[in-house]
Amino acid sequence: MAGCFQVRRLRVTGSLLLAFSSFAGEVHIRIEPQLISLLDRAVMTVEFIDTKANRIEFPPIDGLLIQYQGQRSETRIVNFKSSSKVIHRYLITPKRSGDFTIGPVTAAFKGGRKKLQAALRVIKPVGDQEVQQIEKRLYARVESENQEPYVQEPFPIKLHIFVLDGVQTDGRISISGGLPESGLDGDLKWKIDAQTQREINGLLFNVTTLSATVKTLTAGTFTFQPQVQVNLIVPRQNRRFYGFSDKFFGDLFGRQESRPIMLDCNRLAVAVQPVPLQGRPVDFTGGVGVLDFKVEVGPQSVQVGEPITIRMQISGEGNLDKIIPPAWATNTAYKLYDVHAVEAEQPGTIEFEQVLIPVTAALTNLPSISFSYFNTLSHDFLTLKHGPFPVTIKQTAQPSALIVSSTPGAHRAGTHLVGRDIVHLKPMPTTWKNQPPGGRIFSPQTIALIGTPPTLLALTALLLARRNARTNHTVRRRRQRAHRQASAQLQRARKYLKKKEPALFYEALWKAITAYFSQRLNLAPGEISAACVKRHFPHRAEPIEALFQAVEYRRFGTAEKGRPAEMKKLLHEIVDLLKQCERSDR
Amino acid sequence: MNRYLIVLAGLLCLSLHTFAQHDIFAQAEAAYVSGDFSGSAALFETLLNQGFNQAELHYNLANARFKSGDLLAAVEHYRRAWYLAPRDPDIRANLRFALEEAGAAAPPASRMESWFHLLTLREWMQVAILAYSLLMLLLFMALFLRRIRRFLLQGGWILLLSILAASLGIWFTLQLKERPEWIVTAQKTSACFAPMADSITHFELPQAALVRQTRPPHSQWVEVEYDHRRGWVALTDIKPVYP
Repeated sequence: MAGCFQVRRLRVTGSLLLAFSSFAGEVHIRIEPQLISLLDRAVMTVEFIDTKANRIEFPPIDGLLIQYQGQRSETRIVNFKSSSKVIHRYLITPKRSGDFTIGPVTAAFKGGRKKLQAALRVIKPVGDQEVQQIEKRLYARVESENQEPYVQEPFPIKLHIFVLDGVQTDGRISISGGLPESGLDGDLKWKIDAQTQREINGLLFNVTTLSATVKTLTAGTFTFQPQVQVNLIVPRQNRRFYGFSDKFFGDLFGRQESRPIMLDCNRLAVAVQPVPLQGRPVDFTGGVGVLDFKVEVGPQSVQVGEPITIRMQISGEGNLDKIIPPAWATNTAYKLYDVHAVEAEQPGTIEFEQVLIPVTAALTNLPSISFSYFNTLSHDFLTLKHGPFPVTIKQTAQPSALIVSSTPGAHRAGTHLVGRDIVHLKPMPTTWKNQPPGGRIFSPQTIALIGTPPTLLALTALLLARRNARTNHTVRRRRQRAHRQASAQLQRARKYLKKKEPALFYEALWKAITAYFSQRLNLAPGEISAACVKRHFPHRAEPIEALFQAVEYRRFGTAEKGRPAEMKKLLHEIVDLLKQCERSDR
Repeated sequence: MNRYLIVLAGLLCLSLHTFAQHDIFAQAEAAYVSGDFSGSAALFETLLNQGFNQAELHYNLANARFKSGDLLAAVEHYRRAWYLAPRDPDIRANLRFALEEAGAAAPPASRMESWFHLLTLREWMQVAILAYSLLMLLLFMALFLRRIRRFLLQGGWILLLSILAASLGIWFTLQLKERPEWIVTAQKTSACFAPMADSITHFELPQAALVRQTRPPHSQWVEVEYDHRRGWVALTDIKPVYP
């Protein structure tokens, strides 16, 4: 009983452990086989167990070609425990023999990171006929016509690639490595010189010749053994099955495949000599090679102050781009300007231009100029001299101001700049601003300033609109006029009251009433009656009726017109009525 | 009488203060021309430390630093001068030259960025205020002058567009405060994929490279953009340029 319980406990614990362990992912790297020959291939797999991850990008390795094949997944259930795998497959093709280390690379996956590394050894099988045959059928040779050049002297090297006639390649050539790591001036630029056929030991070879020009910056021995790779087209190898996804080996019909091959190449040692210090002229321009120097001066007859252009041309084989232009001797009789490099029309030539302006008519000759360089044929320094150059300088008839331009020579298109520097200082500022670069953009004052104009604009627009509305509207216009017209008549009535002219007084009152109500109600004066006015002012019907009757009675009645007190009272009542009507909204 | 004397004394002090800056500037110029670039740089820095933040001072200081061989300080001050005077061709040319010498890429700018950078923030604001004032004036005139109201309103559209453009310029320039520019001070700096010490390096940044911050800093790291690439750089390796 106790034993059964213990077994059950063990099982539960074990299952729990397994369950927990499944949450911890793992990654492995494997290469099979780890020892291959040069003609063989290996398969590398990276397995992610119980976790997920994308494929790993391996950095390129010199001598190996690593190609990603794809991925597949596996799930296993063993003893009720499931585990999954994601397997990434890579095909490794060797380009040369040797020991290789792939990695370390960091594999990041769910659950952690791990550094992966694997080793592969590639051997060249001794006695392998196929390997021996390949070396006899394809190889490279490097040579140079000049085995002892000087520093800065350009010398050509030629690379011949021999391919036995009948051997197929895809035509692509890549050259990498095998060149001196330092000391060369610039990178080597290979160009194809020729493609010929040659017979060697009774066999016909297709020869591709490439050439490059080399220039060194220092003296010493430079070794060249370029690593040349071509892609050989061979029948499909049946050594191993690499899977259907392999574009090279997945061909079920057994046709051809392209295999990269590194060619055997000899070693070329070139001993570069230094340019000797002994016997070096003072005006040595740095030129090395076999060079020629020409000078043209023109015009040869000018007036004082007019420019004379000197053109110097250096041509030949050598380090033309490193040559410093020869310098003219300075003289108080003329003013010399900076020399400019000019784009030469012919290849293998450099040209310089310099302007000279005579300041005196006493100048009869421009001094000679010399160009010193190291001649690699005679192995010695050589100085080429030209001049002196006769010139005729005429005095100007009226001595005028000598206009000297800072750039007397026209800036011709294609002028090559000799040097660069920063633009000079700026002058003193006219005002000194003592303020930090930051600061608030919108202060309360600014906001108030910005907000005021549109507020004023809106108010003005509103007022104008109201005014225009009032003045343009007929009814409103008449409405506005009512009080004014009534007031004028009432003023007359007061005057007639004072003058004690009742007839005119009552007439004026009647006109005041009709003028007011006709304008007020937008009616013709003849339409105004008590009934009409009462309709519009029903709340004041009684006083309106009484006043209308009183005024009409007094106007048309022949009886007494009324005493002054009564007239005054009537006037006041009419004024009150009109005021009340004016205040009324109607 | 005493009041007048005090005012006169104040004016004299002010002019003396101005003469002091002139003197220092002249001395700095003379030191530069004579070849004492370090001395010249120190004098220009004195003026900057006094609070005179002007493009000419930053530019001249940068020139002196460049000649002394301090490319980092040269690029930093050329860039600050550029922010103050973006249209100056000398500043642009020298900044480009200094960046080339340092082996750093020039800060990339799209066409819109180049257009908005033609004016400083202050200039954009001046354009906006001027256009706004003219627009208000035009609208006031349009209220009262009915006969030419149509022409005035057409002019108002142009001013409105100017205000819009200036507002965009202001907004664009203010955005730079959200994405400040830094300069790399360390000899060699790595921009990593993540803000962690052992993160994988994405690309390297040369000293004096100008980088633009892309998001708020994360502890001691900041994500920057350089030559169309983004990466995380330690704050200890960089220094702010603008703002």
